[in-house]
Amino acid sequence: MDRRHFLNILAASSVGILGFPAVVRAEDSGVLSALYPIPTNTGISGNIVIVGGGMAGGTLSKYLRLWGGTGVNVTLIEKAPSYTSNIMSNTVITGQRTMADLNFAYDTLRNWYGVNVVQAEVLGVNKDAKTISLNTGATIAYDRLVLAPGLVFDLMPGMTNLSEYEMLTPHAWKAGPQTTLLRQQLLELKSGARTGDFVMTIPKAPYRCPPGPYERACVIADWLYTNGVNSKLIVLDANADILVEKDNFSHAFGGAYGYVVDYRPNSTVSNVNSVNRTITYSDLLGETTTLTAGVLNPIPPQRAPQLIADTGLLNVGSPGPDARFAPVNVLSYESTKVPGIHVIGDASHTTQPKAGHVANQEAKTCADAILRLLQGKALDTNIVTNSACYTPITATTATWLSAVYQAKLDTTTTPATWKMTASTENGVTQPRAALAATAENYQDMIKWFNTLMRDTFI
Amino acid sequence: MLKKLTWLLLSLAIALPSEAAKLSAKPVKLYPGKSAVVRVSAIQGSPTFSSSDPGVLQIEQVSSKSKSAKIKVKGVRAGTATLLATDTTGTHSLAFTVLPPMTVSPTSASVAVGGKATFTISNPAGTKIELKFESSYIYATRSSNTITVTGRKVITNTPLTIYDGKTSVTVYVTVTNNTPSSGLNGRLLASNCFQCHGTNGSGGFDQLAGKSSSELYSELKKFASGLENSDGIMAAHAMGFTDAQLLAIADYFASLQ
Repeated sequence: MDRRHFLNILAASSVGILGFPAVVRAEDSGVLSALYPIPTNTGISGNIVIVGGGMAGGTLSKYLRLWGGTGVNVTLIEKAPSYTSNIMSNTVITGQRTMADLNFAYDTLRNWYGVNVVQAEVLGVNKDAKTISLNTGATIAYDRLVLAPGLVFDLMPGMTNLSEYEMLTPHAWKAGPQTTLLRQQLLELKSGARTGDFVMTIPKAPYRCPPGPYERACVIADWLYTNGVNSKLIVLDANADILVEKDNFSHAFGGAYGYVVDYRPNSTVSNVNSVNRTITYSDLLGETTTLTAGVLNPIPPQRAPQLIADTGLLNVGSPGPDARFAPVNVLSYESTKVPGIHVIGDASHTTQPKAGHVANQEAKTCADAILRLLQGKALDTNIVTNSACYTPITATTATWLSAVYQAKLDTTTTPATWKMTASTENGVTQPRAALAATAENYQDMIKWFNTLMRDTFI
Repeated sequence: MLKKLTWLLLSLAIALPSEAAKLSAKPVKLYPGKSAVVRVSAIQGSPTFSSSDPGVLQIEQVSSKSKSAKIKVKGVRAGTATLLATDTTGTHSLAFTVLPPMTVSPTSASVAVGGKATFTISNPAGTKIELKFESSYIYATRSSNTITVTGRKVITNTPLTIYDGKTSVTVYVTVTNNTPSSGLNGRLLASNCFQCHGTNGSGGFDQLAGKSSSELYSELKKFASGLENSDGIMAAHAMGFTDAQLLAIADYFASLQ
């Protein structure tokens, strides 16, 4: 599809004489200049099917076409009509953004990059026939299948149904209706419709977005403080300590910005009653405490979706996170369990964090590797990824966290395996963090978010 | 009684006591290529002047009056020599030491952008040293007798001049843009930058596409080495890459429109 055709499609879908399509109008000329033509003469061909249109899947579909050309057929299966960003969703809870600000359409992937975007759910994978079946009744054949389905949430102890998250005690760790519900409950603390403390939990690592829970604690505590709501913010962390940016978060928790966060590490939750909003946990010494919360926000343990398990991609029987997520070769993100199937993003088990920015880079690595594999070429071993994120600490300040990973051959395993290893180049230890929360970082955060989402979906 | 011939030092490259008495007691220090003017007083009759070793100390000029003369001498090479004045009272001498000159080795060096080279100064006189260089191409610092040069921008033979107050030595530095080790995947490595700098470096934070490789590489190396905003997020990123990877990234963006 050439650019003129693309513009015609967009123009036809808009209204009025000056009806430039929203995507162009919203971003002015920036979007058009960022759209690159799909090459036609790469000599690469194949059918790639991607399941999941999040940060990983969206990026992969774009770069397979941008780098692979028109001979690479890309199908993106996604059950939602558009993507809702988890990044920045904490600022919807505090009312600084709306859900609409987190919404990213698949129009550019579909219309410019020529990705076949299919709204459907995957029922199963036939590994022998190399097909997937959809709830629409369709069966789609693939040369290579990439699963980027994100993750799902466990029940907290004492809970019996996932709907409790949707109705009563939202985790809001996947942005959507639960984000809105948590926002609503926070407003009820302010109006007096509910009283008590805001209690949140953090599961043992690994979980999605390592700094995310601490960020949420900060921005909600800041909101309570600036709105004069007399509720404490209590964090029950299953981990022994703040996992990332410890200096910045402990500084904030301690009252540096006015608010205070009651941080309780080594908290093992034994019961959640979503109706009464009570939570029981024990500390390191085994002492048990029960809290009744005004707002109860449990961030549950997470695992790869059932599709990953059903496809045989988990290390069944392994201890720890290996059993919950899919092990992969980080040079290609091809499953170490089932050849021809790749897993990128939060569902995969690597040494990298589960987060959108690095998922974008995993997808680019995967795209490059798949294009090599389609041509019968050897995999690249000089692989670098980076994880970076900005984190709001108040309504006007933010910090950042950044890590660069180098692919290194780990010869202590049999056989030797490639691992993404925190870089030690230049004698520098990764990750690195901002020295302090600043207003400049807050502005940079907005620019980062906009550019990251554009690199993923536009 | 006749007054004895005396020497008076009028000017010299390095500061020395000017009293005649002390002058005779201690050799006058002189650099090669530098001159000193000595006044000779209380001359009896018609004098002759000579150097004990013209290869070390050369008489450049003599201007005589009735009882005095000004003699300009020049250091030729390192060594000792005596300036001799003969009048009716006999032969009088003034000792000179011509110092070995300040030297810097090597006389030239080649560094990659962001790379470092060192020069060693030998300076027996131990006087204060200053550096002069074109700062857009190289950056140089001195610690004691060692000069450290960091390459900043590609250039052939940019001068670095070392002054010790009276003499100067110029060495030359060539800054190269090393070609990346073959096989590095510039496109995939550079795609690490797209999340913040836009797809293909099209912009968001600074636009990178189409900038020159040497400019990008120089900038990345400044971040990686901590020379620029070492606590910032760009330094955090650049520090995580190898030199060859940074170069491959710079080359890739330079190749884009």
